[in-house]
Amino acid sequence: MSRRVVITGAGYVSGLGVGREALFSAMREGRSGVRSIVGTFDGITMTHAAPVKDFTAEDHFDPARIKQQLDPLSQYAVVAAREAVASSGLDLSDEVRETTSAVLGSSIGGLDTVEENFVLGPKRVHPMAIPRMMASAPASQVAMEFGLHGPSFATSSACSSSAHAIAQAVLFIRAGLAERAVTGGTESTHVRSSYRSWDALRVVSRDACRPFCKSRSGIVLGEGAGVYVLEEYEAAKARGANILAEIIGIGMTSDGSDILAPNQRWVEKAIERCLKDAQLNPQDVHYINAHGTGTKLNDVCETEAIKKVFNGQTKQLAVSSTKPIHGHTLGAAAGIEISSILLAMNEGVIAPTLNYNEQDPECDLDYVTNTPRNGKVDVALCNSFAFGGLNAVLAFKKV
Amino acid sequence: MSTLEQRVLEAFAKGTVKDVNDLTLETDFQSIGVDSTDLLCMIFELEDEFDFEIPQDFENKTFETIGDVAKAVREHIEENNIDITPKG
Repeated sequence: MSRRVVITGAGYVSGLGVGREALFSAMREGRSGVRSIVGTFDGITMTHAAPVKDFTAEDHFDPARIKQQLDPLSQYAVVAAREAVASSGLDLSDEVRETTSAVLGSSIGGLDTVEENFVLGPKRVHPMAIPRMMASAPASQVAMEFGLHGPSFATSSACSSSAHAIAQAVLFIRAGLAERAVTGGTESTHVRSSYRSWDALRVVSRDACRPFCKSRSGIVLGEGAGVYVLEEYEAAKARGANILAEIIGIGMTSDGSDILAPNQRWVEKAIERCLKDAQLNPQDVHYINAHGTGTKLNDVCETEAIKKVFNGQTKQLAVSSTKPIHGHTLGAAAGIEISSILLAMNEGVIAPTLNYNEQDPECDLDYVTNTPRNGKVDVALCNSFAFGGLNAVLAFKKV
Repeated sequence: MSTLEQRVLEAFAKGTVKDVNDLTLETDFQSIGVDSTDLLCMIFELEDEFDFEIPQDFENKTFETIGDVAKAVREHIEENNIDITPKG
């Protein structure tokens, strides 16, 4: 039998603030971190986002390390990783560090550094521009922070980046290539060129993110990091770790068809593969944290895919998209959204899909809308579907 | 201390993100933990300060103190007859 993998620590930086409780309390209360960004940058047309809140880099890092090495992308990852490791209670002995991986997803890389060096037009490029902006910087910085020596790297698959990172970390542990991992995702989007690029793509809502709602008009950007400590189950149990959930399944596919539009068949297949890997039947699943971006195409495609895979067995199934709470955090998406699954499993509260005001006949699952719902969640899925058709679904079980 | 040495000290402080008041020409690199990243950033700031390109092999020299850096900068300027009068 395959080695089991459990989550024993979690840490977050998000538009709700720094730390787990800032995010969990918003999920629990159905409160949004999205706010007006009017006047923050010249030349942007989007009006709302969920930039990281209450975060001052100097409170967390030596000024030299910030200037020379840490784009906000890495800052968020390291701060979240510190919380994850501390909350896991893991003793980072030499032996533990030798067999611990750091796998961190990021969609774009260090845009703040790109902006500073190449967009704002300084006389010269800073010698540490590359080490600051490279997409693998967060993985390196997390590994350096704790002195980790297991297989470590970045994953990049747009909005599935952190789901793929976590999947990879699970596979490492299952295969015995690592005993544990610090994994998740990070993204920094509060940068003028980021906002302008998303404006140009014409997928950003002018008012609010309303997943699965007839009046939905696009995404609202967020940023931050969600990082977990994963361990092999027997080892975690033996040391008396507080197990937050088990990751029991992974399903991944590629649409192989379009750089923007989702392909329902391969979204379905990712969910199916995940259920198969987890040895689950559709009726076992109580909750799906949907990708639920709030775009016209995604939400119908995702709804239809779930319905097809579940084949009418959706009576027990609640679905929500928490993106109106923390924004679409791109490469950090699954990293941050798994918090809703931990909340549901450990506190019996399903975080809602906020801003829902009009039913869409094409989106007809049991969405938890506007207010949190109490319910027992033993098994849950987290969906991530990226631009370019890179799909990753993770399955979780209460231990 | 000459103006050149003071300017080297300031460039060093800027590159390594340290308080210039804590540094002297005698400050030992080992004692303040100067690493290869610091050297790169220091060279960047020196180039900015003196407005000339520091040759690629500069960081291969053995520097133990900030004074050693100042000495190397002075030698380079004199050998190449470079005007280091601050611009603007």
